[in-house]
Amino acid sequence: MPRKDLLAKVTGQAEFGADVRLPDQVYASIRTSPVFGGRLKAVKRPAGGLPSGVFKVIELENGVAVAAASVWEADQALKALELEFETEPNESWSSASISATLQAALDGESARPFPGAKGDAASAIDQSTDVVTMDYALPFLAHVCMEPMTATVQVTDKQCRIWAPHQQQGAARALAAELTGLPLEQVSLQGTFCGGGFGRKWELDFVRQAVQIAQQTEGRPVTLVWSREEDVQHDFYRPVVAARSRVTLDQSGKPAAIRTRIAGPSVMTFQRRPLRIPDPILVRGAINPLYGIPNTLIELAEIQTHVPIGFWRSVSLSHNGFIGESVIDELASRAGQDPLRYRLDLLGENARARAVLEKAAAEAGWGGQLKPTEGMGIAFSSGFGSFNAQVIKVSVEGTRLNVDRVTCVHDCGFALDPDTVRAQMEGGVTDGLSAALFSKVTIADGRVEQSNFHDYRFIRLSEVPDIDVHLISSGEPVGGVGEAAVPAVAPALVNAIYAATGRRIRQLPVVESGLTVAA
Amino acid sequence: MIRFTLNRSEVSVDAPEDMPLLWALRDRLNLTGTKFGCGISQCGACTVHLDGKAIRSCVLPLSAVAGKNVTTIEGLAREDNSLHPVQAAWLEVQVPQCGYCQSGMIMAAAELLERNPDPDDADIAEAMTNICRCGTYTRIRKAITRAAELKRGSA
Repeated sequence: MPRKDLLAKVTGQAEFGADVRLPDQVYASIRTSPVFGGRLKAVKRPAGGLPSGVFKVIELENGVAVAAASVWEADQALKALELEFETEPNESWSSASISATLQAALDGESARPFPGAKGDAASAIDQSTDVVTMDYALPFLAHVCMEPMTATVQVTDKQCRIWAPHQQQGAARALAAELTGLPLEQVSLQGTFCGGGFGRKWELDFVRQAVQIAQQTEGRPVTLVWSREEDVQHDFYRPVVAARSRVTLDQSGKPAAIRTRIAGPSVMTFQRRPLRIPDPILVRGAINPLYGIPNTLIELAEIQTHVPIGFWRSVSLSHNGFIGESVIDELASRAGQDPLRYRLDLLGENARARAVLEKAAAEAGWGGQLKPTEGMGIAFSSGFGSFNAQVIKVSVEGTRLNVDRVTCVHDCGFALDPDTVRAQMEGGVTDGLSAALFSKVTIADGRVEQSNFHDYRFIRLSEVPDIDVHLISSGEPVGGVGEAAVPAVAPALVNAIYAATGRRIRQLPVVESGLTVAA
Repeated sequence: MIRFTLNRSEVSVDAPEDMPLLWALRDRLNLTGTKFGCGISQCGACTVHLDGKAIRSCVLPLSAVAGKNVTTIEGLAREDNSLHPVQAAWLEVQVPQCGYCQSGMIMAAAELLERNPDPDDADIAEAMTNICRCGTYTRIRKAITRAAELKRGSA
């Protein structure tokens, strides 16, 4: 069915967060401490005065905002200010120190088991003399919504009005009530079109800032628009993760026991909502429970860093899809078995899981003749109430990688609006490919090294292959589509590169391994 | 005061000469269809036409448009208000998701079709360097091919 929002979106009429226009409006830009957790120490104004158009300079606990006649004039004024921050003690963090912490956590004694273990993987592995060990690593990821963080707020004695693209509007209103001291009934929030949320606009930081700024603009509505640099450097990132899987095999080459340890910072701990069990946001799905493996154990070795972390598309499966399905592929290869057949054997009678894999293989021409430079990789994921399988075909000539085609099969029970489900599959695959190929946030001197799309790359049209989507209507309860296409992309990609080259990539992003992506 | 032609009407803007066109459009003239995405000419969300050529308005100073013709997404539709073939194809293929990048994508595609009425996939890949974070690229490819057909049909 045709979407009702699209006419407005192709004619420029759709009102996004920064498009709200009100009488007496001012626009704000903001700079906060480049080192996470830093505090504003001093603001020095230029000797010659601030550039034109400035309404007010507003000091906040961790940064400075300028309200002006336009976003650009606010930003120019910010550039003219000299800002000094108190950045101890976090400025000593770096990607190297975080990697060392992760490595120590993988090697260490301290880890907690995640509920749902099967059999006794620990004993099976401890008693075996033939243990296969595989280590994986994935970086922090940013969200880089096309629309940088933005909110419009007007605060008067009697009311606080908010216009914002926000994924948690009730909490945003409650926060504004708390900040202004107004009763909740006098705080309104009008949602606007959201220029990409992806979990980033679930966070409250930019609403807090906009309210605090609006409290100092004398009742005038203020539209806060972050620069892209502020956005890349002040995200709530997908956690950095390192993993170690240890496996023993049975006579037929199938896993008898898998013990996977995930090391990383916990989102729930970061949000000060610690759980009694290891954070599912880190560990869930590290071994797919649908595989018939008699002994499995997932455990978490939690680390702490100063980097803010949050929800990223497909949550735990954004890394565990890669880890779990790389392990299965490595084991299939070690057993000399076809990766599709190997998975089907492990899935037994699970009809929905088998169906997505078999359909993806059939549509992609799995097992057909390929050139020596070509390879196909397969991966399976289940989560969000849905089943997904993907086959990716690549060509690798020298160090030049071309992603030729992605075949994606999805069973979300029943697709109420099949075209929107297809769109989510295409988008999820593209998002997953971009992250797997290119994306990485690194830390130096306590701050994010990347700042904009030139050094935090997002995939472009020339790099996107044909994405062939097939939906299976199993008639089962309706499952997810927004996140469910992401988990299988990275493993299908590295499995394809392995098939083409014999080279196993265990660290993302792929470009870090020396391959370049053909446009 | 900078004067230029905007969507077929004369306008004058009171703003610093070095203010990028993007911000003059958005925060002075309240034409908000053109979007801010990066500020360094990387993402293309701010693409408009300057004398018929697609440019990235986040890095183009206002002084550079004096006396020239600027077309934004709001002015792309024809004078009778019917959709431009690119917009029509975009609806037919149901391209946008969040929609934020789409004004820039549509402006880039419209200019491509002026230069090349029958682009193949390689031409499209070369011309369409804008970023879409939702991943609508495969539909953009399809919609440009469709828009080319519509344009030829209506020419």
